[in-house]
Amino acid sequence: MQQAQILTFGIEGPLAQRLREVAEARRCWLRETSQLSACRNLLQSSPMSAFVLLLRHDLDRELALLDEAHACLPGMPIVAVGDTDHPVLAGLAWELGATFVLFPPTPIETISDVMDRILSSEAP
Amino acid sequence: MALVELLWHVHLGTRNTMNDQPSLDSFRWQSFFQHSAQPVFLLNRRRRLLFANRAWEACTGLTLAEVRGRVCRRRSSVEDREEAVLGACAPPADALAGRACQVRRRLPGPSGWWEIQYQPLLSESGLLGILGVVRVLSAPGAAPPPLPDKLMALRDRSAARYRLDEPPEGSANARLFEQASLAAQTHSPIAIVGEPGVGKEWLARVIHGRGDGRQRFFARLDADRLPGPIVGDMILGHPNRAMNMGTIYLHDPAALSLEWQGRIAEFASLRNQPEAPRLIVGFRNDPGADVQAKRLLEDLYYAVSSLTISIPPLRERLAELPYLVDVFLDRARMLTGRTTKSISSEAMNVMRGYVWPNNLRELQDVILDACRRAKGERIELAELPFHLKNGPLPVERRLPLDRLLEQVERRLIALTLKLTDGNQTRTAELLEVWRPRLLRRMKALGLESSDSSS
Repeated sequence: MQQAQILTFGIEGPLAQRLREVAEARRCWLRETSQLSACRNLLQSSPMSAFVLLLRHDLDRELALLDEAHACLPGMPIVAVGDTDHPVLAGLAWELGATFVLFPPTPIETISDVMDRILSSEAP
Repeated sequence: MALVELLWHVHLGTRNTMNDQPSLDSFRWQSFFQHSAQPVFLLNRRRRLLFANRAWEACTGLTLAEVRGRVCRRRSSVEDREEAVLGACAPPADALAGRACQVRRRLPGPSGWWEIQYQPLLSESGLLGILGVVRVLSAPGAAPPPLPDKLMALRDRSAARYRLDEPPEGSANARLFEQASLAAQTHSPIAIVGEPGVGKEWLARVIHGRGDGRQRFFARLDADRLPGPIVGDMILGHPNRAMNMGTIYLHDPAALSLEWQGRIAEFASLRNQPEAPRLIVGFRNDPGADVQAKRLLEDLYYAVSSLTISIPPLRERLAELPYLVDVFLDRARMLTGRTTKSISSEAMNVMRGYVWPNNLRELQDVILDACRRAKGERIELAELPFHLKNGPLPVERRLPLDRLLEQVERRLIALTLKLTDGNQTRTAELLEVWRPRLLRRMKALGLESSDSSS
């Protein structure tokens, strides 16, 4: 059986640490990227169980990546993370196909529960 | 409250009776209200408009000079905008009786809904006037705060993928097209039923894109992929208002706990919530069977199933394959930037012979993949995946008559019971059967008996 893979883009700090813990607990392979091209290549080349991306540095490109990932791989759960309370951006991330949008004031601890649930669910 | 007290003293003509307040003689209360960003208006005890600030004027499109002295009274039908605005400002009986109260009123045009707080101003001899402070609620169909141009363009490009062009007449898609158009005109909850991959989310997005709330956002909530409190909070809580959600598509509600299902059922049955997002619910299995198995709360199913759209699996609509392939080729071109325009007849024949267990999702993946691999402008047989080219011949599709008839009977009885509010005598009359027979069939079909006639 193929090992489940989680792909992250731009995630660092405490959130990255949490995801590492989740991946370890669930024996998943965590692939952390910070370059758009590398992330896109991985998305195209191997099936991912979840994709977690940060919306912060270059919103146009990050949201375009979210949109593209959802359009090309509609069954793949996508978690969009932001670090500022921005309801409009959060609304747009939901619309572009995010399975879950983690923006303040939702605490980052929520990610563990959400990832657990995502990784234990079947494809819809 | 201090503001109201201040105004009360102003109206009574008293001098500075409040400690730490500037002299009221020099205080220009109208200018004080003019600086308020919230619309504020003042009525006398006979409900005549004495004052309205600039925020009120901006919100209503009327000037104070035009409407000063006019009576604010509710009317059953109003053609004129001025009358409609004044009607919306009319104080309720509680306010006229001197009690503070709050109401929600609908305004004509883009102002949408108002939440008005009425504060009666009382003197020793009774009601002096009523102060109304307005909070503008987000209007149904109102656009979210503007996004930068690039993000707006991205949103438009994404939305363009979820359109339903008028399909060939008589096809299943033509029926979906009609149902989606009808559903888009209402704000009622909608149930979409279909096997995994048939395009329930896609149809929900199509309905959102054709409806009044399309300027607001769309969110898909997977009940099986998200913790119940997160799903519940998104539907019932404040996040959807803050994010200006127009439509929430809830997928597979049977995965939620019965407690959350109950709360969502309550929300879905309250129809008079124009600022709340529209709820579209996708059922991957037969919802009737889920209700029977106690996985799905009957209340939730009935609350959302007044308008139900069933999407047939792809294997039952293979005649539409050329149309669907064209739709997905368009989408694949948009996503890949390739120029693939068509598919060879050999490749199409192979696709026609396949059973498509994963429905449209599988078809989209196949087209996208073939598009990436295509060397020219046409997808050839060689570019199709191995399992398609070498798969088994299409299985002979069976039509188990008894099972189909049972499904029809169950649905018919359930609908009639719903129509008669569970009255079995009336249901038996409408179905033109004896009541004992109805009861026997209900028992056999596993329909719960809760007769309201006895």
